[in-house]
Amino acid sequence: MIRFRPRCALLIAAILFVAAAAGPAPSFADALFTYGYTPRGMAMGNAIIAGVDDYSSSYYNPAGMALLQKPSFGLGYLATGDTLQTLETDRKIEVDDMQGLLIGSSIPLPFGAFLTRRLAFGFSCFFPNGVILAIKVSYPTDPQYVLLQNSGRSLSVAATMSLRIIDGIAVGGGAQLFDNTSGRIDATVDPNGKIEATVGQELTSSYAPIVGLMVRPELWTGKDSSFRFGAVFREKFFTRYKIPISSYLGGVPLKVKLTAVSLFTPRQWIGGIGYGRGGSYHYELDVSYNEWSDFPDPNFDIDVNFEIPLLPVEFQDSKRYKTDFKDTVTLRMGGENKIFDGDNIGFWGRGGYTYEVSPVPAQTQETNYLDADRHIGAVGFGVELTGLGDRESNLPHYFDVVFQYHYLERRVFKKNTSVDADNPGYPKIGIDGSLWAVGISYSTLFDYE
Amino acid sequence: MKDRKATSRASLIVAAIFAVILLFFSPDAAANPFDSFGAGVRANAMGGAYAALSEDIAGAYYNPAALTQVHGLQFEFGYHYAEPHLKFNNKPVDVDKNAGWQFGGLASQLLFGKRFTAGANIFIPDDHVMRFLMLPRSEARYVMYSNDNHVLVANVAVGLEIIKDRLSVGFGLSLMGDNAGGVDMQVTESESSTALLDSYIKPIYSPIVGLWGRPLRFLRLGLCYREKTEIKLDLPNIIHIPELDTFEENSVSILAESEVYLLAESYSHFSPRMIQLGTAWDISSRFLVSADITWQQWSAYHDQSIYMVIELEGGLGELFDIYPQTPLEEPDFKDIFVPAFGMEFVPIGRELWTIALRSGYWYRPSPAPDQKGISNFSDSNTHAISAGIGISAKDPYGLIPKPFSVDAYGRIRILEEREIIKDSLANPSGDYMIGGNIFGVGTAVTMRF
Repeated sequence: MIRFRPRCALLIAAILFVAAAAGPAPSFADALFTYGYTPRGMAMGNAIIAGVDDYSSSYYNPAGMALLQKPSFGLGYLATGDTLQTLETDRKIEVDDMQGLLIGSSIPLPFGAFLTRRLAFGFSCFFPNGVILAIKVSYPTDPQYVLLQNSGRSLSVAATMSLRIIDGIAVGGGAQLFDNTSGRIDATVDPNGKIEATVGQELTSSYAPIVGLMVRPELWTGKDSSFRFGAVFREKFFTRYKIPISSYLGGVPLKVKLTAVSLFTPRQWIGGIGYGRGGSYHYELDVSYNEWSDFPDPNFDIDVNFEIPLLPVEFQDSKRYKTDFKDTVTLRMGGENKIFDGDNIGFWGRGGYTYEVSPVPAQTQETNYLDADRHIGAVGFGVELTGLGDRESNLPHYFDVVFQYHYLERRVFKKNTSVDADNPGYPKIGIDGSLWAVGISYSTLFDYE
Repeated sequence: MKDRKATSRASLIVAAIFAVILLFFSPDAAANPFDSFGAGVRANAMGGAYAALSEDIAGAYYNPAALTQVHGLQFEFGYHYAEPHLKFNNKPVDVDKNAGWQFGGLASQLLFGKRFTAGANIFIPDDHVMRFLMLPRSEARYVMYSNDNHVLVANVAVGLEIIKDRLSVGFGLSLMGDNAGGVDMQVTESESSTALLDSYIKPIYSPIVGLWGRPLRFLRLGLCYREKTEIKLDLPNIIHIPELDTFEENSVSILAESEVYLLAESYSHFSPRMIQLGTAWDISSRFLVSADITWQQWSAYHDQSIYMVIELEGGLGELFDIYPQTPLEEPDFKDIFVPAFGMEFVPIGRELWTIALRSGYWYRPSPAPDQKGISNFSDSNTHAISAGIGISAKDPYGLIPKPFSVDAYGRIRILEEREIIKDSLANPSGDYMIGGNIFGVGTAVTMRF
């Protein structure tokens, strides 16, 4: 009989880690950073990286997949809204309400011999309604909810693998996938006024690695309840937009190169500690360090080449703006408790709280990036069904709902005297209001035939 | 007996629900490398005569109903490569290779006592997730191979048994994205240039519906309908130029405020509506033949050349004359029938491993009419001959619980020589000859649990 040595597991774990960390340039941003992934996780304040044990492991902590006993599959629906308002200005800014479908699965692979209960595969997807990727870039001085307005504008897909090193300790890794847009527009109007054109556009994929570790001592001590630990690293991601427009008007070149970066989500280092008892309760506290200081200038970088014959005109390229965002620490706490345990039905109550510090500095200069510290509270309810009346189901069924509320602290910025009076944020501009999200999901565990 | 009726009725209800869901999706969507190069390694080796077989992830494309033949969990991961060697006037022309990863999974469970299988099949091209290349109408291109195959395609499908082992229905969706939106730009002489962007890629879905039956123990029949797919591109870009006044001290305006409007419109990634009818005959436990015929509605094909609108308003409009581009004409493609044949022979069938040899053939008459006018949509009647091998093995050490397989295929596609004779001697393209070959290979590993 072949025995699996922990050293082999560590080697495979290292390979998984390196494979994940070696992914190409970072990419994309998503609604999941703002609201969370599943109703269960959201209801627990997204403080779940040490205790996640369902289809959402692939997103919250991929290491957890290898500690599952059975494959798990889930799907759900999320919807969000807001009451955000700008203060001290007449400008109104619309934030798109977002709805979308979530799908995920965590699948322990039933290998035999030394790989028995060792490897797992999973994926997590979020599909905003009607959007695969949408990029909106505003004028630099336009007031904008710079971190919130793009939440529902990108599809999110992650594929992950997980390895159980010993009972109760697992590592996982994978990548989130997204696209960059580039292309060209070549149009010529010849001296006779005839148009000839070629247009090309392409999406190229990029990946952002995710790496996780989970420790659940109760799985090797055999105790009913114990502390649980988790750690997750998520690489930053953003999407690039690059389109050069090249046109000739009767031999006169009008060339413009446009590049922009959008949908930024920061690199995250998350640690969590929880205490729980399988099938009864779980409480957790997570801390996340978010590297927002990498936030790029979200405005267009424009390179203009347009010379009008006989007119001594030189058009200006765009100006670059420093963002000076700061790194933040996010505190998340939450828990769930089985409040009723019947023969073939159980009810779960959940609650959570998150404090999200705004990385956006005071907007005293030309830009008007509006954001504020957020207090996020959530409550949720879950039903576990293993049969109806006397009839037992061959699969367990889980139904979860959540209501999440984000309260933004009122924040007003006063402009410096160097700022033009026609700046939309002059002399003062601020933000106030709230966001909310509701979600519902169904999930199940199944057996291999 | 009552139970059997009840479960059949339940299966029909579930099937009807899926059918209704499909009706809500748009019938227009994007094109498909699966149409051009086939889906799955075994299916490619058997010439795509696969509507009655579809026992792997290729069934998400060829016939979702036949997926009910799959038991348990199945993952497939493979790579496909096709290299064109096409010619104009017997000289090689540069047509992009088509290569990428194809992978997917299937999961099967019993639902109301009937088999229910769900799965996905995804093709990710090497170079881009999606590419749009819009050329002028007069530019010669191999219309089947120039652009439409450079796109990610995801097929998701479910199969549901109506009568156990005898009759199934299946539904699927082919997911793609269309592209719209553009830049609104201000280029100025006195200040830095600025721009805003509202660009989006929306998901579009193309339904696939299948029916599969086994009327006799050795005979399988399959019928599959795949909806037409097509993207309509609409890319507007606007450049605003303020009034130019180089002699400020005299307040003389030398160029009034102007606006350059560039709109690129095109159709792209067309795939015809198809109805595929197939049969598979198990002549013995070691010998299988299949034959399919597919109707392809190419008459719905739109000219995929670019239609460019350039408008100059204001001062620039007075400097340059622009005449609108001549509207594109319909290309008058015709509907075709494509016959396909496949066979599989198992010369070695041991307890621990088996080897299967496969071959296939299909013939596609060209839907493109004679290119007598300005357009040059090059295509000719095509023969494809393929061969493949599949090795299936059981793991004697018990590491892998079910047989796994490694499959490979090679294919040559021969485009008959076709002479293009123009109506007018003044046609800038002149007369020319087309033809050539496309070589393709692919391999995949399939794991079953």
